[in-house]
Amino acid sequence: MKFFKEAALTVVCLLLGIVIAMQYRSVKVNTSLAVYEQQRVNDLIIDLLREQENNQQLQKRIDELQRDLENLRTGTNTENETIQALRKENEQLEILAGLKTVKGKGIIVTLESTDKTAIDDNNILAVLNELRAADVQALAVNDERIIATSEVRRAGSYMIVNGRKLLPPYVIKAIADPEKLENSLTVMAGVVDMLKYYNIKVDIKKDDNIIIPAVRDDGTIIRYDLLTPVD
Amino acid sequence: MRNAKGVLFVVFLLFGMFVTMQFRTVLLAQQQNAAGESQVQSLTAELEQAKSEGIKLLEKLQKLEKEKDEIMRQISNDGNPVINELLDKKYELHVINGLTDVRGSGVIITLNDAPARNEMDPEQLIIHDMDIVKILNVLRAAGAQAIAINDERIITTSRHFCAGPTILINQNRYPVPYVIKAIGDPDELYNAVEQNEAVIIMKIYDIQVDIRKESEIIIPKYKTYKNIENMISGLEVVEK
Repeated sequence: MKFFKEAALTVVCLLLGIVIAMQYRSVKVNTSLAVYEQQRVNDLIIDLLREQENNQQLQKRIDELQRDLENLRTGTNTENETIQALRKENEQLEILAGLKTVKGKGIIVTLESTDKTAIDDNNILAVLNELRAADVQALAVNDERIIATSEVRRAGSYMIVNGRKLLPPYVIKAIADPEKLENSLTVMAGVVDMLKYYNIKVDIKKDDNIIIPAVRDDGTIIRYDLLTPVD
Repeated sequence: MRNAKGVLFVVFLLFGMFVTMQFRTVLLAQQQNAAGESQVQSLTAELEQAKSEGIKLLEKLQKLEKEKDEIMRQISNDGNPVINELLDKKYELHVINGLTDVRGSGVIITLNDAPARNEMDPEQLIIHDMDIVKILNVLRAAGAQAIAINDERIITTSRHFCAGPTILINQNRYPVPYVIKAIGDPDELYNAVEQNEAVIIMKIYDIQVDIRKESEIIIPKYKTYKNIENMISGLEVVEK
């Protein structure tokens, strides 16, 4: 009888243990599922808001174009006005392409090695990528304008950007939309820690009067001879 | 003997409580999951709709732009050559800025995460943003004139960074595989990528890197098209 009771107690305790373990695991799985689910919802909301804003801007541009067309058809716009408008559009395209020296608010990031080792191109690339992620509009490394086809390559103790030799310290300038400038600063704070690990001293400062020179327009950097426009 | 009964009582009490708790957790979790799932579904549907609307708007915009250019050409042909000159300049600047679809020969690089293996840190099996950054840099150094990732044109300020298992390029999210297209000299581009240190390391970790030379590649224009003003809103021209 005593044996039977003890056996029963053992079985019950065993079951209890199993149930506790199950409970613990299911709570854990549920929590991680909930976190994942929330992440997906957040991502979707961000994507949706961005898409909606993009559509609004497209609609705005469409309205503008329709007005332009109307004016062109009815001859409301004089030929001179048409020429002015085209000149303005081309100037904006030149600014976008980096063909104009520009001024604006932004940040200046200076990288300097604290030991004798040369700074790696990857570190500069990482900084540039983070700055792009923070919506900057113009970039330069030691006043070499960074455009879509600019490379950053280390060669010994110096860096080659746009085919030109640059010596350390590397001064990276970025101009951003003032409203989004704080983004850039926050994003950069994360990179500083990473660079410290590579013995690179990073100095970040805000500047309201950053000047970024135009890209050298001698046919060596901006090249499109191999591109055929497709209609 | 009394003692044993007491213990048994407590044990059964606990047992009962746990069974109830477990039951409730499962029930609750199911409800939560269903709620989350339906939210994800409705958001996904809304996003798809916004995207397809965006595509329609972009098509309309491009049609109107073309129409406008045609009218201007007509005016120019009727006796104002300056307009044609400005239009030609505009097209050239569109090509430089990645605002035109372009064709040419070059390379196509396809990247895929390494197959999952237990003995390795999963961090080493996936493609990181710096891997992409390095490959783009190699292509640029080898003279690539136009680059796209998953048909997202890379322009000066293109953002590209990984967010978990996806990559965010020009504000659009893509899962693997990542397809990088570059127009330039196919041999130079191929050799530069093939011999690049980052690519060799990726291959060691079994990340799938496929590099192909192609005689005809089409790279689409920058799609996240807003008006240009927005892209240069913080820039003021300095006359020299």
